[in-house]
Amino acid sequence: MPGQPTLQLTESVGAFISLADAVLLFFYITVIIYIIYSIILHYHWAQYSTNKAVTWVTLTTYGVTTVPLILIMAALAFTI
Amino acid sequence: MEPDEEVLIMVRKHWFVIMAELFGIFILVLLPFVALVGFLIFNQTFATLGVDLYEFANLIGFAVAAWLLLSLLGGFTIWTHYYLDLWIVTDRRIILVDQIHFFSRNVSVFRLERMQDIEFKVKGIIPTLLNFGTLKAQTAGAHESNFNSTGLPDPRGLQAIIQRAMDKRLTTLHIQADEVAAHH
Repeated sequence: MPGQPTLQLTESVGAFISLADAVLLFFYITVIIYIIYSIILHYHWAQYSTNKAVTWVTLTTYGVTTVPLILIMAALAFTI
Repeated sequence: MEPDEEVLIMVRKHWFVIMAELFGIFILVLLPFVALVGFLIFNQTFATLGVDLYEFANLIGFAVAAWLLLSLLGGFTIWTHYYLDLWIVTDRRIILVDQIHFFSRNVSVFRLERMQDIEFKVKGIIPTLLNFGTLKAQTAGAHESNFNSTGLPDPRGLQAIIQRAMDKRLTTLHIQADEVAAHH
């Protein structure tokens, strides 16, 4: 509606935590989960795989696809 | 592996099994892009409601990246479980590696001479067309046990390989037993 103020999402998050802090907190939790998951994934492939080439391709694809997403998340988390 | 043990075949589940599972991940990956297109199409509608989506561009970008990351982790989990699930048939035994999830790995070994009955089942249109199905076997030993694996490619061929290996193994064991008896 004309004249109606733009919705402030920070207000809807509440007084408990600001939106920027909530995003940052979510980012840190995601990074912790990502690191733990990466260690588990690497361990399983290093320990149980029967083919080194498949292991290499899998872990490389994993890094190439997921690391940029983490970097994008980091860049955006600190600008919100 | 035991000395002189020969691997006859190594089998993973049929490619259709993993493709069906990864298709779900593919849909999840597409979802935020569909939502973004929807936002762009209905941008005017949001504007009339007083919501300026461009103001939340960073937040939306962050949410999309997080969604894609979690979807990819799901995809890599499916791929890992698929690849580390393995059937190894040797000239002496069948080794079944079942990667149930990351912290649950089951390795079962069935000696060929203890196998009693082996049967396969191909049920449904897709399994029939793509030739994959279930292999079921019974073993007799101190503790009788069965195994049942689904989604195996060419179950008829696999059954034939195991059957031949079983026959050969029993023949070898009988010859060895006869030789031992002759020495005494």
